[in-house]
Amino acid sequence: MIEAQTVGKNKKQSPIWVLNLNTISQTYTLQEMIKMIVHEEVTHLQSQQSQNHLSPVRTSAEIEVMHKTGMVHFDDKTKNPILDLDDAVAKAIQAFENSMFYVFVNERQIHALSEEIKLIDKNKIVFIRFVPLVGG
Amino acid sequence: MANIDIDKILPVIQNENSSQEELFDCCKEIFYSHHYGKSYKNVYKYEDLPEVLQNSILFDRLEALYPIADDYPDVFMGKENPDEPMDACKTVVANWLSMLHGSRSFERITPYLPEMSHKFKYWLVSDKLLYNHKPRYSKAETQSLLSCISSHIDYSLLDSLTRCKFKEKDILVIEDNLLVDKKHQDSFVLNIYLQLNDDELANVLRRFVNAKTRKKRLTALDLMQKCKQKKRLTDLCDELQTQYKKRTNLLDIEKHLLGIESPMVLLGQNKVNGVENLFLLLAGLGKHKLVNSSADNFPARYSEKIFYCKPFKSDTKEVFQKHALELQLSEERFLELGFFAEQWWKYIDYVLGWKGYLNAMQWFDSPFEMRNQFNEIYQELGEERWQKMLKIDSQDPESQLSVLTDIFLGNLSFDTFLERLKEISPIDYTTRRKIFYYLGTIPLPKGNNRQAELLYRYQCFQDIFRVAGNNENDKNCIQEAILMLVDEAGFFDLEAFQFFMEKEIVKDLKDRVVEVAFDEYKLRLSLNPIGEPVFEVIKNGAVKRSLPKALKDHPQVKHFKERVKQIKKMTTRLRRFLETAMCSERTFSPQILNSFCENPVLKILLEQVVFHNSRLMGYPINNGKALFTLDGEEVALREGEVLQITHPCEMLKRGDWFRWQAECFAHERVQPFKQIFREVYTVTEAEINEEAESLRFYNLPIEAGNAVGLFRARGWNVDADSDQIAFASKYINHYSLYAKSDTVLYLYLATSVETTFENIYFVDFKSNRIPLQDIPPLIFSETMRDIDLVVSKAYVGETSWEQSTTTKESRALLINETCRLLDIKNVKTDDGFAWISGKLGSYKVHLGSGSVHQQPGNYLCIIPDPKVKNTNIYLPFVDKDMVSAIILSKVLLLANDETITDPVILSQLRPPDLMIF
Repeated sequence: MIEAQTVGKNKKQSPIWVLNLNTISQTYTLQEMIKMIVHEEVTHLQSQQSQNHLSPVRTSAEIEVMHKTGMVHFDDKTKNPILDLDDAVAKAIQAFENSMFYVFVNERQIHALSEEIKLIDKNKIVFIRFVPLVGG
Repeated sequence: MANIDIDKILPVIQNENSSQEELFDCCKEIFYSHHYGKSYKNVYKYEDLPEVLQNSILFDRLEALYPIADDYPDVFMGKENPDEPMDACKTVVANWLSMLHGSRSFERITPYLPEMSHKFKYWLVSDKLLYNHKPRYSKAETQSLLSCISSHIDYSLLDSLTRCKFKEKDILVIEDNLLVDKKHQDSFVLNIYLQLNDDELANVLRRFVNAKTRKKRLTALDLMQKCKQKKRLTDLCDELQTQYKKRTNLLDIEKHLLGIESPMVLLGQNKVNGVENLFLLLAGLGKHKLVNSSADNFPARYSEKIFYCKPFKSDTKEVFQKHALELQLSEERFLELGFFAEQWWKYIDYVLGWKGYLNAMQWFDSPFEMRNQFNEIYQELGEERWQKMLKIDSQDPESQLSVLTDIFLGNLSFDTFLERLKEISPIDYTTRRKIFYYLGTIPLPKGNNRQAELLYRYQCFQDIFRVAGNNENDKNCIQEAILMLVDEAGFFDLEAFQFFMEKEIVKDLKDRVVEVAFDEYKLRLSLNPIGEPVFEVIKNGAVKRSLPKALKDHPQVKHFKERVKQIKKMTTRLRRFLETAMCSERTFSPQILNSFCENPVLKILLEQVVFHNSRLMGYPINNGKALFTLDGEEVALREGEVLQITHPCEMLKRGDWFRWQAECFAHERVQPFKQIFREVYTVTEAEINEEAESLRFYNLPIEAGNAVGLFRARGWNVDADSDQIAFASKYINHYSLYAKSDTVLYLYLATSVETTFENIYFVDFKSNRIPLQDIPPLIFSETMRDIDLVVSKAYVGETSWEQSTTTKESRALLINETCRLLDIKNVKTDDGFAWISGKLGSYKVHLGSGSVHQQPGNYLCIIPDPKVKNTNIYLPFVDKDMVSAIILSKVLLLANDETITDPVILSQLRPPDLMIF
């Protein structure tokens, strides 16, 4: 299992994202791991918009739930564009090579794509992104 | 005088060498002593001062100080009672002098009379003159005293004079100054004369009756009235009055005083009615014109009485004519009276003997309403007489009748006024109002081009209305003018008229397509499936992408282009109409729907809107005669059945909302407004438990000015409560409810002001709050939808520099965590800032805005590289948002400031002197 970390007000640092792996105690390179996580992320996003991407229709169950929260709406149905999986992976790899983000696995920074990561039972992973800055 | 130590004070006063300070001390002692209470004004009588003091040198010493009294305010105004207004220093000295006057001659004090307070003047004069009481002055002395005060006679002096007993000779001394033209003093003056004995009074009367000055004669008349009331000298009065009446050119006021019936009397009366009084008033008015004004002059006062003067039932036309002959009134005067006082029309008609006068007056009174009879009336009266009447009427600068006459005679056209309107400044409201009225008045032509002209005018009004913008005056006037046009065209109400007009605009599009062919081109105007107009040029069977140059100025092309604009506007209005009808739960009969379908655009729109009643729900088909239901059935509507446009609330209630959505989606329906996919807001558990209010949007920061605009655009009232603070409310007509919010908004503020959204609640007309669950679901939903739109558009939370504490806190945590992982030690977060001690300097980064300062105080401009494209990377990043990532990047950049290579940052960073190295 891989958990992505966030920081919150209550120091209880709960994972924002969890990936369950089929095989435990396996070794991956960072490149493989990024690919895996991007896959997972994109699939998740697409499943969210799955049947609804083409249809704005709310099911009766959805209506029932929204009704209780006080508002039935039709937003956020088409917000996420259809993603090309390979393209998304390539972009992520490229971004790492450009030092657009750092990766820490179990408190240790991973510096190279080829670096091997030994996954244990429960892994904490942190992605910190940066924005290139210039003087204005 | 127990409290004044005369023995101590007097020597100081009498000593001519005593200093001014010592003198002032004495004055304070005398005039402010406790004996007189808090204020010297409480002195009841000046005699209260010991005579030895009155006749002392103090009078002379104060007199010497009088011209420079203003230089010693602390002395003369020192101990005034704070409850009373302060007297000027000179007044105080004059008052004191009056108390110290003693046995000096009266001339000594007269120079100070004008400055003296009323009370003191009164005491002084009444005491000196009431010699019957306590004789002090001989007759000769009285006369000299009177001559002293003669030129100072005013209200307060007169008051005291009336209490004295004078001989005729005494009065003579002051008579010229007594009889000045000051009305409010008259009763005092009369009283002074009336206390003379009969013989003396008789003398006065005889003298006055024949006097040259009017004031004296009028006083005589006044006195005689009083005498008669008191039964004094009645014979003499009668004799004098009879003589007086024989004079010629008696003034109204003289007639009045002589008891002769005069119009003056009428002015003082409340109800002045009847023919006799009317003619008295007209006589009083004399040569003046009748005026409609509230000014306080005789013509205006007579006019007002005439305006309200009504004939008695017993007043006959013959009596009216008799009076008219007596007074020799002119024709013009009667015409004028006719325009002025409607109640006398039939009498004037009789006197004038003009055929058609009454009808003409009817028209003059309400020209637009009587427009159909104009020609008849005009013919009957004849042009000459008509012009005479117009001439009289044109004395009123506001009069519009001569222009209206020209309009109905057909001398002025609609376009003339349209042209004229363009020349008039948009803020000349009065003139514009008149022109709009004329525009509405002009009759429609009869015959074939009536319909076309109607359409043309309707569109003209619509165009003016659209460009009127914020000009409320114009908008109101146009609406009036449109209503006049509606009336002229013979429609029941504006809406019926509007639908008819719109139907006319698209009459030829019944089959959704119009084509015109010329040369090798075919022009096509059509309606697309969502009711919008499409204009195409076809050449050789193919639709041209752009308009060929040759056709640019072709009249037919221009016409079609114009129509596209027109129809688009109409479609917009119809969409809004349907949406409003849904929200106001308006009902429609199948007949109305059927007539709506005569408009091809409206038909297209209607067929995509769900209607329902208790029996059915579906899309109208078959020209509104049936509904197409969810089950795919066509159900015919029954006679007398009514429908309304379905709000999704109703679908939610019936439980088939999902199916409607699916059907709409599957059939690719494009609805004219958000109906099936409309947001629905429902009352939550939490809101039911609140005190009949919704706190759903509580505490959201919004920009007040923006919110005011958004509220108004959605039909809410934003009225100033006090000063500039305002609250929003909406009246829900068909339930007599008000939706309200306690959010504080501001009007008339130039700068943008942030406010936070408060609550929403509903009240009935008695201002009782209604529990949210008792509000009709549709009303609740639509109200909340309005609020949601307002709040989300006016929301300032994200862009505001002042970020909430939680955002700043989470960014601080993000920075701390990252620095820990990267083992960076020179960064601290505190107080909403990240503090960095770099190698080149110390910096602070604001965790809300991300602004960077080099310590102390130097602002550093560091921005995300605009050349780098922002690509989405699908990884679960630790930051919450992009701004957090930028702030973190800035912090890390500055923590390693020795590695910065960007020249623009470096040039800001290093002090100029270091640049040399």
